[in-house]
Amino acid sequence: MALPALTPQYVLGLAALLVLVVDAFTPTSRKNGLLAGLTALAGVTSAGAAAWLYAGGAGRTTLFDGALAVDASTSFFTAVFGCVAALVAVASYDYVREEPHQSAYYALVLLATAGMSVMAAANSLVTAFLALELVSLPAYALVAYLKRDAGSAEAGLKYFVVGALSSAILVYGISLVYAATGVFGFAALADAVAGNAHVTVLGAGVVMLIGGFAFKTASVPFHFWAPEAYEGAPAPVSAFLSSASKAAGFVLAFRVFLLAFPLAAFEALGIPWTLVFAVLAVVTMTLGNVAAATQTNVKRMLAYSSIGHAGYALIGLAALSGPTSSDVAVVGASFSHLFVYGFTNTGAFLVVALAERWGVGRTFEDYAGLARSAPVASAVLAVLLFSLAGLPVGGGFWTKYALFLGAVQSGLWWLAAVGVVNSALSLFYYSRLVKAVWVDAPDETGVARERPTGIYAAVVVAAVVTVALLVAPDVVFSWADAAARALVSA
Amino acid sequence: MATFILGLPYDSNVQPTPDLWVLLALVGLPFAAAAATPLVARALGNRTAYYAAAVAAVCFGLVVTLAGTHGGAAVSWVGPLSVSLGFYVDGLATLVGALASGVGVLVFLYSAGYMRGEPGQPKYYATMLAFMGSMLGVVYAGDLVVLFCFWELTSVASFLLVGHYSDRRDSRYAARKAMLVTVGGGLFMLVGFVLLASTVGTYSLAAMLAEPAATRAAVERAGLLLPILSLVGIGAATKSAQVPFHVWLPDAMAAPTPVSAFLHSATMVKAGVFLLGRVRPILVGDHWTEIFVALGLCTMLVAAILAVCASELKELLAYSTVSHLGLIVAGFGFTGALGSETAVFHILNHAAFKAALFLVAGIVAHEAGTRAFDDLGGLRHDLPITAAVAVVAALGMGGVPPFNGFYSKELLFEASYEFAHHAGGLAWLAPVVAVVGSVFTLAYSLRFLAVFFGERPDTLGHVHRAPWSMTGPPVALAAIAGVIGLGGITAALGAPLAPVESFVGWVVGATLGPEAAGHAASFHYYLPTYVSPAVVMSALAIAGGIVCYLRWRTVRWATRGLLGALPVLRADGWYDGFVYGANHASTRVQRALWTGHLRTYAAWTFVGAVALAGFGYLATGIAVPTAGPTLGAGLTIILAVAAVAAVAAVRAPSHVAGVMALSVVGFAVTVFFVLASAPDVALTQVVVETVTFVVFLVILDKLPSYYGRIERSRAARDAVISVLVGGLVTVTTLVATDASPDAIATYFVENTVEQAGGHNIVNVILVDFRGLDTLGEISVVAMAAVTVLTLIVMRERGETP
Amino acid sequence: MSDAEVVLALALGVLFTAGTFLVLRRDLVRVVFGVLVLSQATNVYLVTMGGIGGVAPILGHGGTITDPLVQALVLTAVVIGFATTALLLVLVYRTYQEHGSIDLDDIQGAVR
Repeated sequence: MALPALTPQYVLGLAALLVLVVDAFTPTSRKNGLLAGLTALAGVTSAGAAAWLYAGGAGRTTLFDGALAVDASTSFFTAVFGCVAALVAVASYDYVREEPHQSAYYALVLLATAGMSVMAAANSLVTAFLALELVSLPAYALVAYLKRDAGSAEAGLKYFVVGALSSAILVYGISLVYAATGVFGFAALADAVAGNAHVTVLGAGVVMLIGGFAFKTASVPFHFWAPEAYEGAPAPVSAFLSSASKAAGFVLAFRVFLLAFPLAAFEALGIPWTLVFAVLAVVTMTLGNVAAATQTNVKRMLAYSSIGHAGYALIGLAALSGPTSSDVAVVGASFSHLFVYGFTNTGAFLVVALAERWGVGRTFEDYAGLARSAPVASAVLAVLLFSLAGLPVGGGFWTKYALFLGAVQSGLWWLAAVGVVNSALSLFYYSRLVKAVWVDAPDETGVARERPTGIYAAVVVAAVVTVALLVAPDVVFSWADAAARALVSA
Repeated sequence: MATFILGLPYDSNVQPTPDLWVLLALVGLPFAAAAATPLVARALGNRTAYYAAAVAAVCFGLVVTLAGTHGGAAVSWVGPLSVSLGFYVDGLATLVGALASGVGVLVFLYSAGYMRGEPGQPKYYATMLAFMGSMLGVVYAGDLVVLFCFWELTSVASFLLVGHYSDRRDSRYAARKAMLVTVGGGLFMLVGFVLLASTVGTYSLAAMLAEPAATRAAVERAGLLLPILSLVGIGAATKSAQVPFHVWLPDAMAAPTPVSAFLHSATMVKAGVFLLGRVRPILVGDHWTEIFVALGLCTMLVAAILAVCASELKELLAYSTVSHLGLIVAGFGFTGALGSETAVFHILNHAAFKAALFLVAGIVAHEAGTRAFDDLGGLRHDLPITAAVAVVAALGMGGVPPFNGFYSKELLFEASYEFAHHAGGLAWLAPVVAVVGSVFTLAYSLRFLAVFFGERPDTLGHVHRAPWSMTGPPVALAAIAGVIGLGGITAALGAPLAPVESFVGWVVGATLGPEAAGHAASFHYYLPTYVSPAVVMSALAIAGGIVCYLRWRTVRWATRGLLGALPVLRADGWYDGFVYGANHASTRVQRALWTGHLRTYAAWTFVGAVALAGFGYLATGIAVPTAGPTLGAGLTIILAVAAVAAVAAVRAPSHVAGVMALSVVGFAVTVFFVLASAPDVALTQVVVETVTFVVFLVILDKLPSYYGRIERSRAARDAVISVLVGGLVTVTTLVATDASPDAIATYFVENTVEQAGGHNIVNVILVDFRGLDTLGEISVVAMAAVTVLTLIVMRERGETP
Repeated sequence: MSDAEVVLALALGVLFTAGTFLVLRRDLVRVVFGVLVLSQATNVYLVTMGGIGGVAPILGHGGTITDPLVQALVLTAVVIGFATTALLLVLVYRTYQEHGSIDLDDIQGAVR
């Protein structure tokens, strides 16, 4: 059966409307479960549709007069977004139970997911800008969603202002690129940049665009919002933003730079943009990991580490070198890193959500000895954190390894070396949390903990997928490979 | 091993290749058993130990069935990375694999007594089993990546085991220290592996070991021999606790004693020397010898001195383990068969006597309630069997003939003498250091034994006999050590212990470089009956050791003084310094960058944008065009109005005044759009501007009239940033307006009427050509509406703030 | 249009300087002012990228027309700018509700 190429996007958009409609017609008492179920179902369905589209082997489909182009990378990332949205929705079932306006919450999650999947299909700078806004606005709102929580509103505000500035920078960059080329479409841009006469304008525009993407991916220099937004936001929203939204920023960056700004043409112009990404990758991963090292607040530690991971994923753009095979390898590594990260990081934040629900507090000391009262959640947390650190207990090992390997193969030894040192540094703080949970003794033992079904299911699924990706990573790697190929050799 | 007991030769070329399924079962079984442990423990309680021992016994059986085979077996794992789940079986793997599973059986049995009634048993046994599986994975790995995976898993398992007594601060500190050092070293090793694989073109160890000479040639051609050697060496040195990475091992003694016996003497720390043996055929050469002989002998001496300073049983054994690992590393360091024989034979001997001694220490601590030397003595009456075990094992450790450690130490002396004889010069340090180290080794071995002899301190209360489950395993280990020792006597009498000799010979064969191959099966050891340099060195070491022991107080005073003068020997500083430095740097970065002030973030965002654009200009080489004003008077005036109004907004004395100034900016921009031939944009702008103005006034009505004073210093800094941004924009505008778009969207001009039937091109674009973008725009507005509603009514319905 | 526009460049420079300075203030409302000024200035800038010397892009008026595609983009940006402004103002209001202040120095720290 051949599905329309935009099925996942349709599913998400319609589900968002459906959530709002359902809200109007159901009694308050049972609404939350229904809405969460609908959202999760939409996420899974869109991911399934994306997988179906990929398995169907359809090549590149251009839609709406070239505004959108659906290829293997679209389906790959749509699957990531769908899965993360489903996990977040399932976990939110318990988390937002006491909050008002659940329908708006779920609808915003779905709309943001739809926006992300449009980002993954964007084929012109205008569409890219719109999709970015489509993701950003619900994100601001979701961060500020918590009722009577001063931190939530404050975080939303700060996120918003920095976001508004970044999007101004992005628009500025788009206009500069347009000034130099006179076109917005990626394919037309690729033709127009070759031998372009307005090198200065083009160069400034390109770096401004990098700035816009850096905001979305929480990379240096537009990473400042991340720790506070993630900390102030409801934990499932932090999971959503730091996994899915970040991946969306990356897929857009990859699309723009691989499809619209071919490296060869830019090197001929004297604008080696890979260098910018290499510098940003180093600074981003180092800054994130160094700042995370002494955090005493778990959520904040995860937030900083999420900045570090953006640095790793940037290697995919920094280590492009020209030959198709090595470019496909490194881009594919970055893609699969974002895939695994989608599950692992979401799971880690959801464990925090679980802890928040139990009221254990926010700091490492509060988590001490959690393994006694909640062994399953603690085991899950240990697996997820070690996988984030790149130890071979989860799929994160393969993807980090593939990234560093890609960097080495492109001759960027130093980048791989910095990455390895950073991995060691990240183990430094991840191990502190694992130590707190498993080794440190609690003040009191034997607290009976409730088991919120939704969050438990979500974290266990996240951990199982993470481990499964260590044992059998081939499925994801080959999909990521196809996705990378679709962009590199387009 | 069944075959080796029958005395079959191992060096024949007809050994069958191993069966992949057996290997998968061998490595997978402990993990599966670990996963099932929580359930099993619920049923068995304190007897879970026997379940774990049974699993280890099955593994040992599988190791034995694999003992006659040789070669690799692999199944594809990660296609795109060309990593395969590859295994490799040879003598070295069989030796260390047999240690991991065999000592495992004994340690599990011992745990049945030692851990009886302790809390946290399921976690303990599950982790121990997982550790055993990881160790077997390391040993049988036939692929570099697989080796690395299991290597790091052993560190993770060790982390949980060292931290077992979670209520103790030292054990929490030690757990993290052990993991950070070993995992960090593992990462260096991984980089070395990647270099190795990228020069050779494969990750398969089996393939590399099949062609060691060609592999080495490829590495040398690429000029990467030294980097690879150093990186892999760091991995091995951290795992095997070589100076200066030895700092984690003594602290790791905070673990339960069976863990120390298993991980920190017999198996995990052997992973490092195993790695050296594994890559030795490929990398052995001059650099190899320089690095590892120096590293090993230095470690041997320093750790022996530290062991003399130890004040309790386990600390002494920990430093002694470091010292003996140094001996093994040095052994592998020497080129040729003699070095390999030293290392391989000592791996076997050390595992036997050191595991026994740890278990003895555990019995003493368990039954006497203390491990401090000052509180212990004369225990031979209370613990006779344990004392006998201690005698056999400690004399083996001290290298006294005819106990087992003597023979491998003799081999070391021989190898170091030949090395020095061959190389001359500084190389003569090697035998000297080996002898001096051995002097201290014997001294502390005797000190250990003294716990069982001499006067019994009055403070020592009643000491129980240990249960059989605890004495049995050390007796078995001591028996093995004793038999190996006796083999030397019988060999001198003309009847060598053939199974041990041929087995060790087989293992040695697996670690030889291409130039020494063929030496394999001829391993012999015996009590020397003639005078040779090595015998003289042994005699010196033993005499020195006895003298040192007799002058124990002086020696200890001297060594402690040395340590006081040279604290660098303990080397704890670098780890603590690193941890402190990381914490410090992190706190500072954090304080500087994340102040919690929105303006800090905004300022950095602006600075970042300026820096990015500045970089763009620098990279492309900017030339600011010079040109006069070409805009018409109308545009010039309206732009001036906008600029003045913006400045007014900055200086506005109240919110309302600011809004007024702002709306002047907005309407000036509208007029600009009209003059700039953008009527549609202007229309939209008018509507938006009006509504914004109204919304603003509504909101301002609800907000207080706060209007903070501007501090001078802050204003100056902000002004600098603002001017930077403004300047950048000015330059950009100059450059950009100088460039003319190459292709004004002629497509739309040509097709608007034909395809869409409209004359207003902008409108047609919005509703027709780029209808999708407009849909997105509508979605954004709709979403903003939903959000605004949600946020506004959030507090207003139901409760009041 | 092919000459550099000094007047335009200077005016935009002033607008951006003022906007930036406003965003860096303590008073939350002034921060909003700043964001608004910046987005206005960006729109002006965008329009000039399509050329301001031609006639309006409505067919049948004759002459060289300005670039319609850019104007379409600016129109979109203006509308989205309105949506974000509304959202921003509501967030400011929410923040004031929760903190009882619009001085960013008072607000900082609730999250830490």
